Amino acid sequence: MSAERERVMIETKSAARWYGQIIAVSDVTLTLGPGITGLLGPNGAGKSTLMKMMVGQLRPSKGEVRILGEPIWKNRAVLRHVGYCPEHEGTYEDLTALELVTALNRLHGIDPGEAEKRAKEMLAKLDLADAMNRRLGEYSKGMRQRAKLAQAMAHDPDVLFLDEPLTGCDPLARVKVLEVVKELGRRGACVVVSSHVLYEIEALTSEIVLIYKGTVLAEGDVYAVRSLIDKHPHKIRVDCDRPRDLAKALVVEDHVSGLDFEEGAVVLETRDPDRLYPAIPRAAKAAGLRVKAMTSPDNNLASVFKYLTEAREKPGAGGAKSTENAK
Amino acid sequence: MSAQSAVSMGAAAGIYRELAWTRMKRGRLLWVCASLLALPVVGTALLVIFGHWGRTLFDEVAEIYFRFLLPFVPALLASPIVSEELDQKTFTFVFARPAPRSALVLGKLAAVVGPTLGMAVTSVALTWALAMIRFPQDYAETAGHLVRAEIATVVGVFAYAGIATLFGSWFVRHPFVAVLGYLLLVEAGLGSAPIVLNLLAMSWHLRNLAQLALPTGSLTLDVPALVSAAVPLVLGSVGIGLACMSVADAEYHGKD
Repeated sequence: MSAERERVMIETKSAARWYGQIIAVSDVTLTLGPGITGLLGPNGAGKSTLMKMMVGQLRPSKGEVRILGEPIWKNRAVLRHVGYCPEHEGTYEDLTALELVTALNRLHGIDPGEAEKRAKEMLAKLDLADAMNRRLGEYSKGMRQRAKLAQAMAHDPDVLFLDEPLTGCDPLARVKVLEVVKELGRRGACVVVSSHVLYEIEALTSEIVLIYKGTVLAEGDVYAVRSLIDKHPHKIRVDCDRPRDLAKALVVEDHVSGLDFEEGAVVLETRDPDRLYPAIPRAAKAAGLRVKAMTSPDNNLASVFKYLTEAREKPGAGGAKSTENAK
Repeated sequence: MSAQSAVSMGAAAGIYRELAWTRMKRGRLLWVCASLLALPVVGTALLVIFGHWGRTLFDEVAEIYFRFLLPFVPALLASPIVSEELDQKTFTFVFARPAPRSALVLGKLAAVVGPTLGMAVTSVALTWALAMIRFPQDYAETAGHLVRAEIATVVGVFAYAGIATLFGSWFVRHPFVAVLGYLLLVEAGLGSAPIVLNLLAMSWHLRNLAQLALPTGSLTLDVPALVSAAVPLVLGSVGIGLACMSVADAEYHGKD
């Protein structure tokens, strides 16, 4: 880690959160500095709960969470430096994206003129310039996701939390979102991105925190974990207008090991996602198809996490070394 | 990077009020409420055409107005103030800002109370004007009565909006159903009962304040107008205070 990276911007000390008998996050101790960190884990792992504690929207049942050296729960002063894009789809559907982002900027104490200027700039960066005066209720899922990202980033936060930011984005929007998030990371902000898809995280950063069943399994470099995941078949669901034509175009690729059809989508299986991800938009373009969304079901990642957990529980098992490498 | 100043309660409430007003203008609820509040005016106009008039007509219409319409309209508009934010999780956007959380309640309440007051006060004034139209000398004679009815309207809008906001923070999924239950049981039920328990109903106090006829009997009490103004104001304020407290402690639960 560089000296800059070692500057602590987020710190959790034995942070835990439980609901009755259910432990959502257990004893998480982490320190994160500037740059992008990926919070990786299957659905239900505790990523969002941890993130909600980090952003001050959930009180830790035990331990503490500090942002920029200050406790975050009920601390408005710290929230001045924070941006948050939640994972849920709810928005103010009867407002335009520009109205929403401008108003939320104003709630950061930015004066109205400047708030609108920054809102316009951020929406334009996320390719919503032409749609910023349309109501959010008329937006597609991907556009809504970009509007949510715009509200999180438009006030130029020092610490940014993005919960599953690429959900519902089409391939072009994914590229745009990744660009903007990377730029913020390069400028010294501390960006925490959660995802259940390693390849989304990998496109942003090599620094990851692996979380499973509420505990941190490992933190550090992505590549050690990556090789483990590659041993397991990876599934990609592609929603498009003619899934059978897309399947026909991709089945000839040697890295596609299986496929299945769902309503309006094809689910491709591969052991080489690095080759398959760029091959999909290429094949779609060649066949004249419109890809609406690419998603990765988390069952492949869950199997890897199960493997890592078992390895940790049985130190003699084969996975232990890999887990240690990841630390 | 970030160089924003802290946001005061007043400034934040102003921003929330603007947002809520923009959304209300675009929604249907405001126009539904405007139509409901036009009903007494239309009803009075028809009754005047069919030969009714004077203070008696005004009091009959006002009785229905204070028992049913006045509680219903603020409840319709104010019950979603907190509940919609919690139900649709939109509070996650606004509570990630350095603004006081209570400003959300106060700002949205201001957006609801302002136009509702305008519509309700106008409705009462037009109803009165129409009821007295046949004998213009009645205007001067009953002006004091109108003022009392308008004061009761202002107090009522505030109080019912406050109570509805509180119910909305307790019953997130079906806030209006919960408020409706309260209105039927307490306001309509107890408010009409010829027993001392009617003092628990704000509708009884508002009718007392507006100098309307109230159920009387050996089990009822005479209450000064000032007390009848204070009770709904206190209840409404308590409702708003409790709603602000529930929002201040609101947490974002949900699946991972």
